Amino acid sequence: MIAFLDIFSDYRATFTFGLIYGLFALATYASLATGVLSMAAATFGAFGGFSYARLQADHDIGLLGGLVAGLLAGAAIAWILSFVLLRLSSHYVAMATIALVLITRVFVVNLPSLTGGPNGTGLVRQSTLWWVLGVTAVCLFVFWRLANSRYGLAATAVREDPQAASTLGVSVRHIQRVSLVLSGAIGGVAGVLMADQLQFIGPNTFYIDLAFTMLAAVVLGGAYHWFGAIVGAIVFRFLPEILSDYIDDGHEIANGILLVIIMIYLPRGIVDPRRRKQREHGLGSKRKSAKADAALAHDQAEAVTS
Amino acid sequence: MTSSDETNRQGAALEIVGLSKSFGGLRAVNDLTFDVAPNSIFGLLGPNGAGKTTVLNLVSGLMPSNSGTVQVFGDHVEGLPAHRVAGAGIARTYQNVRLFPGLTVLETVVTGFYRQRSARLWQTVLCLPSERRERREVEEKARALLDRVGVTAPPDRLAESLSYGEQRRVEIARALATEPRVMLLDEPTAGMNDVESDALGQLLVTLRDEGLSLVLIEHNIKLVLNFCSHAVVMNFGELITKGTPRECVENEEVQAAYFGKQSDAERVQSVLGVRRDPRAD
Repeated sequence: MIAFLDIFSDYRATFTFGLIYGLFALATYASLATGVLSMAAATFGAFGGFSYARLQADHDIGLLGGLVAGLLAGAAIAWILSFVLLRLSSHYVAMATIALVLITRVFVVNLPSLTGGPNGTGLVRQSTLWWVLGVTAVCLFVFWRLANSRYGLAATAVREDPQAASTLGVSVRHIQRVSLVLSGAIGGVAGVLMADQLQFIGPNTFYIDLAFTMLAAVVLGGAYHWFGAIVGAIVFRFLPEILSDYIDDGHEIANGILLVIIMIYLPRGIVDPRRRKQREHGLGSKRKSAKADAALAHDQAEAVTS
Repeated sequence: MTSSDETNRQGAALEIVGLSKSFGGLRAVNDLTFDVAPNSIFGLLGPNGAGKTTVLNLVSGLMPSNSGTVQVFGDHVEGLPAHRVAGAGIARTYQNVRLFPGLTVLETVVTGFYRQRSARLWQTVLCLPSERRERREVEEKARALLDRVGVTAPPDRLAESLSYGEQRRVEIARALATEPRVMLLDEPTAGMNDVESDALGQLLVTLRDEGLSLVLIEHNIKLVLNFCSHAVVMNFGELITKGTPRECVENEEVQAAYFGKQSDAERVQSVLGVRRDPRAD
């Protein structure tokens, strides 16, 4: 027990940041769940983080107020951006959001009165691990409630087959907009916690590294279930930390190798609801193909007529 | 869903006038006009590539038409996005079943109830009792629908793991969940045996008796003859003939479209040296 507590205190910071990365991954998952591959969560995080830094410096805002401000800032900017982003088709959305992350950095550098410019902004830490855990729990609760709800099923339908979804009366554009606003809200909150825990944010805090890490976390953890994002982010945070004891700078390579192995053997990620559903019915592999069934029906029909 | 004139409301369930669609130089649908009476099963026939599925895509709003109008019980739906067309009461199934991977049989059908449900996102998150009640009710309705269309597989099985014939029935249940006034079915019996197609035919008759109007693309001539009251036949995007199914099938132009012209057939036979058996006449 003592040993466990020792390990816990050793990895306390790693765990905290693992959860914050998990929130970013969850923000990415939110839009991916409706088929929108977006890396804009880094930008939403920047809006949340810098709003919080400004409010803390000027108005002494508390953490709870900061979280609400971050949520609103992220959601608002996501809502505005959705009108541009959702006009694009799938691959172009991804490219546009990468561009967005790059542009965000340019803005951060060139607006020193708001962001501190290239020197960044310092903050006073107000949050603890328990705050981060609490916020993560609330976000996971939201996703747990949404899965299989009216919105959740419509989101799955839109991701898997937008045309078929639209002929069921689901407005693809509307569902994707809601998912982006959700992504913005969570991204904004994650940005606030990130800023608070780091106690310093600059132009490189919410940049391409973060964008790619959270996307990789979603792929690793599983892009078809909300819990996958958190699992992926924590694995990605802990693995280099543990490995750095053995191989100094090799952890980047280890991350890459892990991702490749997962892509080959678990292409749908660590957490995969479909695998579970299949196992429940003892179906190891996909059952008969449609063609085989059609052939069978044909044979039966012939047997009946002859 | 623009203006609805009262004269038409009594008229056709589905009225198509001058519908056209070109893909580049190819006229997939050319000046098509027909109407479907309420409470009827209507056949849309024609050889492969005649443009039947394109007609369904145009009617359901999946692709824009070049010209023409489509009315559902007097409401214009041409030019509307697909989800608004669905809202006007048109539901459809697809030629190559399009279920959502990863969803169970029950979830698939519940997805179809999207428009009937009113739960907002925040109500869901806050676990309001109204949302829970709605979820229960919708699942109950979905089970009843699955029962009606004759799906016997357990509702918590993955829909994609069912047999082809059963997937088609799940898709029909999903379409029925939108509570449509007009239902478009694209080859509903493909991959089914005779017994299964007959059962499907009976289901269509019950649905019709309950007030639904059905448009059927079908190659199973027996099914069309037995269950459709009217039909149109298309070839190369144009309407060749309309009438009762028997009139359509006996039409010479229709036979030529399906099997080639008689003169062609005779020429082929003479080349092959095949003579018709005189006893057959």
